[in-house]
Amino acid sequence: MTEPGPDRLHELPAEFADALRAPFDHLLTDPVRLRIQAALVALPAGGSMRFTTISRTLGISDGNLGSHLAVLAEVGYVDTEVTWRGKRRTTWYRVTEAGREAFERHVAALRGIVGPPV
Amino acid sequence: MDQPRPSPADPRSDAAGTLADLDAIGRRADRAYRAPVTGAPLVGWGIAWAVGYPALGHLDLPWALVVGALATAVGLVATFAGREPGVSNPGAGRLRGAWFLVLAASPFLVQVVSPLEPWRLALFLGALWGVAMAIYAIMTADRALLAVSGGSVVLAAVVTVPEGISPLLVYGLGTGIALLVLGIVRATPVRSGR
Repeated sequence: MTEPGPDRLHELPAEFADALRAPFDHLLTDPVRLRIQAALVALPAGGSMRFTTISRTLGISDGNLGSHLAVLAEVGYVDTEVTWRGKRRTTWYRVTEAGREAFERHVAALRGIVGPPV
Repeated sequence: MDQPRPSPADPRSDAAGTLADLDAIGRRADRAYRAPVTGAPLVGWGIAWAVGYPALGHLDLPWALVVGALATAVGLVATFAGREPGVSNPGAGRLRGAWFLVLAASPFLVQVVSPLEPWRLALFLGALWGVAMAIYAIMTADRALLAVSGGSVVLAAVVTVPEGISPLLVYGLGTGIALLVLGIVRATPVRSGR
């Protein structure tokens, strides 16, 4: 069976062809970063999550989470906000518009590999 | 006969596994967002409904009011005594304001429909709060809460029809148990994967 090349994409369903054209986001090829983005993208628009809640949701260590969040914040995929309650400091993380778009493109590319639903 | 297992290096099964994992993470994040509002608070209000309404229908004064007030206190404590949520929602303040509006409007609406027998007034208020919960459920895309709260409104009307049943007992237990079950499910932590 011949695999569809770029010149034959028009023969595929439009949604599937779009997915095949979608590029992977090189930052999100790291599975931990992709999972962090998945958790933040699932929140309602403007919603943010505490560091400890992200760590519990993903089941990863604080050190691992902290280093990947720093990378995502540096490229502008994640926004941070610090709040104080008395002397207690809480850092909140929220996905940015750029982060949401990158995640959606990456997921579209993954769907392109899996193929159209049978 | 055993099916051939896909090789771990198979990009298609790898991608499918990643997508399934992302879906599961999305569900856990969604639970973390909903649990503070529809976990312990619904457990409290489920108990309040299941105990308070039957008490109003079957106990004499002043005990009916005492038990009703205690049941309401359980709901209020469960709503406001929870630990700090792990997810912040920018619309939470407006939603809280809308709830206070419904509660503040309740005595005025009672005055509009009065005079009614006390049991009908109790059902009217239950249905009113059911509508408020249903609106909240629509605003937050919460299908389970919409089903429970919408069902509560319908049940409040249905229990007024048949003879020979205790409307407040049936309504209180029906709505209370549904709220309680939903609250317990939402308050139960989801195991994280990997």
